[in-house]
Amino acid sequence: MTGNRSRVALSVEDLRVHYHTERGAIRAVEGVSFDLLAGERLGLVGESGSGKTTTAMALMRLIRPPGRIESGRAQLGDLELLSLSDEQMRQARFAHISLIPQGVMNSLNPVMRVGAQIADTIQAHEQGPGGEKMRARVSDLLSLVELDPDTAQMYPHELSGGMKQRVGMAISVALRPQVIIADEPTSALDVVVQKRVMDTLFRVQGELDAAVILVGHDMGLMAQCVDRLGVMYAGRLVELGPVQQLLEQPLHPYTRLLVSSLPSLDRRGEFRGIPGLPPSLLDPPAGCPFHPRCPEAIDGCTTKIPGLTTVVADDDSARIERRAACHLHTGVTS
Amino acid sequence: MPADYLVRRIAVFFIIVWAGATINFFMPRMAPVNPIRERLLQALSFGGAGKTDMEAVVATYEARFGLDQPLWKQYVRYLGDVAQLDFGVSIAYFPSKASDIILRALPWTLGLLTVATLIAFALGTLLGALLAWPKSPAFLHYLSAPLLALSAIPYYLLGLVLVFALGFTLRLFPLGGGFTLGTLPSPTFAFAMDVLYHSIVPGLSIVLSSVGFWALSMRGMMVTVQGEDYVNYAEARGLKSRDVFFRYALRNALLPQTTSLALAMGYVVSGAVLVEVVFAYPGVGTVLYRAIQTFDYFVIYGVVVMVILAIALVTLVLDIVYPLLDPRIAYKR
Amino acid sequence: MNRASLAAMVRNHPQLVAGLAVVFVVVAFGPVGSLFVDTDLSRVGSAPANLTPTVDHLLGTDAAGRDLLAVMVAGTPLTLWVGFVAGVVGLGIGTILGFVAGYFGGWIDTVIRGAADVLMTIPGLLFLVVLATSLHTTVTVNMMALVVASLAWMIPTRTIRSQVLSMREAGYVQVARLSGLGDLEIIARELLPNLLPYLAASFVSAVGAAVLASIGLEALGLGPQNEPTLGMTIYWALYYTSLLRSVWWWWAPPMVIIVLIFVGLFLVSMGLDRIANPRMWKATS
Ligand SMILES: Nc1ncnc2c1ncn2[C@@H]1O[C@H](COP(=O)(O)OP(=O)(O)OP(=O)(O)O)[C@@H](O)[C@H]1O
Ligand SMILES: [Mg+2]
Repeated sequence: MTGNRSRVALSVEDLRVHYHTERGAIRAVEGVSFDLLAGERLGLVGESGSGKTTTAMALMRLIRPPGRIESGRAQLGDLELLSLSDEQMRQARFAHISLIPQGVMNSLNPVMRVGAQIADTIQAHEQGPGGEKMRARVSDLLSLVELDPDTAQMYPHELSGGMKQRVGMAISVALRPQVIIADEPTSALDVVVQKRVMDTLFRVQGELDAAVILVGHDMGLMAQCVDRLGVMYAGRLVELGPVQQLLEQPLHPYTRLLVSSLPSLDRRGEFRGIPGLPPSLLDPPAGCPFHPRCPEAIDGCTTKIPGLTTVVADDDSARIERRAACHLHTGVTS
Repeated sequence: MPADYLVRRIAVFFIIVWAGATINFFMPRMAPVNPIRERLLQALSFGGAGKTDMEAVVATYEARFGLDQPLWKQYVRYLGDVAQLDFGVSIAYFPSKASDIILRALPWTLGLLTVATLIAFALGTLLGALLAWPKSPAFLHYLSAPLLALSAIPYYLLGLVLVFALGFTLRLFPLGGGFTLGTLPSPTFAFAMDVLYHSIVPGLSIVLSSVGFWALSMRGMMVTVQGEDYVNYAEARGLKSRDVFFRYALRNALLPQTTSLALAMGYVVSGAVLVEVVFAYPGVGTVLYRAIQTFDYFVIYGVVVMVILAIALVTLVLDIVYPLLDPRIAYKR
Repeated sequence: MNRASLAAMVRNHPQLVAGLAVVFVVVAFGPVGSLFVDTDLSRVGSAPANLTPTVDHLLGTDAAGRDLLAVMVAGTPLTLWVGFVAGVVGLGIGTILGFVAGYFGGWIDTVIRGAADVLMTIPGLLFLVVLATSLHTTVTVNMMALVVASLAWMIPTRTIRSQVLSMREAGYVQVARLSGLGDLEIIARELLPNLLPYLAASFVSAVGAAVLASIGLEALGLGPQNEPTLGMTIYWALYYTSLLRSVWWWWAPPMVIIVLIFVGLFLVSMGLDRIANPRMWKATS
């Protein structure tokens, strides 16, 4: 965490992504807005299907049919990602915003050496570097993620899951992007390896001074790792704030249930779920999508959708601002 | 390449050859009367010009099959003969050895088939890949329909049509044969050109009727592969779509395609054997056809074993090449 | 089926509908044709030999004095019958073996799969040649069908085995097993219905392969010598070098019918494949 003021690295506004299936439009992401500050680590949690991966993929402009980005803006420096041409976006990928996809360890080309896959990412964005220079660069990247430079000569099936994860990390930082999105980067690894991989990720992030969006289920991991946390529910961001306060004094009833359902006192581990089912994204309930499961629902909740509003503000830093999308905090009653 | 992989592949080679030879051995014996013996005796009783020849044939037949011996002894002996490529004598061309007749024809078949199949495989694979590529030009999609229709037509029927159109009606190509009658095979350029000229229409009919099959299967592979994580990840990394296509999607789709090449060998050879009959091409297909006409059993069975042997060899070669394409093979069963 | 759903069927499955239409035309050709044409004329010597097409003999006659239109009318059903019988028998054996191999696994699976793989490498035609020469009697159409069927089971075995294998692990089968259903019951109630599109597709390709093999065998002269099947007609046409004598009415009609059979079956199997693997076909076309 570099201690500068709240410079914004990536500003997402009203992002909406729908999957147009035969049964209708699945509103996987519905009006998500947040600012990612330079150098910070922002966590994104939520039940399975709440739209975390879809949000990440939308920022990379990798939504495939039947999915479609319906609206939104994503300002990264002077690039507005969602309105770039396809070729401009291709050039921006990994050069400005990179992704460690969910399951990156199964995403390497099985018939290509690891080094070649790092190199072709670089070659896709830069003119020229080849031969010895490229080899040196690949070695550096591998050392950066604590892998033996000889790993470059290996095929993916010759590496362990943790090693492949590190390769994914090396690829994601190869072009020094300002933003790295990591989608459950460690969920398939055992706890010890998990910790080490995360440490590496954050060390590298520090060296690059990049901002990270960390998508995951594991609240304990989040509590240890991130600066701020966003909670997603049914395609919406329902709460956003500094991780410590958010966990200690949740503003949104959903967050509160989530936190109280954590298995142990120090809030380690994955949440087990809360009573009731997440709403259908095809035909969401009127009003607040959480109201059918909400123990604290009031009248207005069934009719009016609450927006994400600032609850605790601080004039000079977005870092400690707290926001929630809940009528209990917007003061709407009828 | 790991040794146990190699050993396993070589074992498969022997199993295929053994199975082919065994079918050859037992099938005639399952019939109520041994057709070979019956046929020989029949020929003998008709007598005629080749009477002494026939007696000699019967003598070799009795000697090699030793029908008075127990079955297992006959079988072991038979396998031993097969291992030495000894299939007995031709009845129609006595005293030529069946294996000589077949070996003389084999290079023609192998040459025609290998070249035509490789061309069809390469063309079809490329076409199938391009059909699955969103950016490929539209005319390819129009080209694909007729090719697919052609792939539904048996090889040799297409051969017939081509002979009629290109050979008989337009007189662009010879009606059949492997070289101009009256010339003697010799290692000259002129003769090579003559052979090439004669092989174009038969080759074309093999290529045209199989290219659609390869295109269709490659297209299927490509569609499957394009949903794979490594293709999505390559795209996520900002690779150019051409690189994603050739180095990721196509490269991986080639693997199952190569496997089906090995599996399709039997099918391809069956088709090609018939193409030879249509063109009176001097390969094993024509030898087989003539042998059937004259009930030349030793030659028939010899052809069957030899062709199976050739296919098993091709399969073995493909198996040995395969690990070069797929580095994971060392760890797979 | 009402008109709207028929239109929807044509729109959603154009290949399937077109293929079925072609197959139907070929299947109907024999029965309908026999209403207009005397099939007795397909016998040897029933008409003067080597006639060019006239009003009396629309497709002329062959060198043995057969009316070629009558030959087509009588022969098309025979060839289809060979394909049908071989398809049914081959698919039947293939389904049983595929189920046994996929469902029970273990050494039984190894043996069945190994046998299918090895036999697939061996050119079916040569196997049939050995079989047919070994029989050494005049082959009948039904024998022909059984001979061809003996090689029609490998591909169905492979497809069905792999489908069963993937379904065996699927949740609903596990649930059924836990709830105490026996193996046979699970196969009949849970697996078979899900396999129907694959079985249909396998049947179509088995019929196609069988027709292909049968005319191949016939072209080599190993078919039923006394029957006017399509393959035998082509064999005789080649035997009497009709191609080089411009006797197109001899070789072209059987060829056209055979091509129609294959194109029809091909379209049907493509249509069925789209139903069985919808994902494969979404991405393009
Ligand atoms: N290709 C698709 N077609 C249709 N619906 C989709 C598709 N991909 C995702 N969805 C739907 O979009 C919603 C959000 O999915 P998403 O993958 O973003 O969830 P997630 O929060 O990442 O879940 P997880 O924690 O399980 O990874 C889900 O309801 C899912 O069913
Ligand atoms: Mg996800």
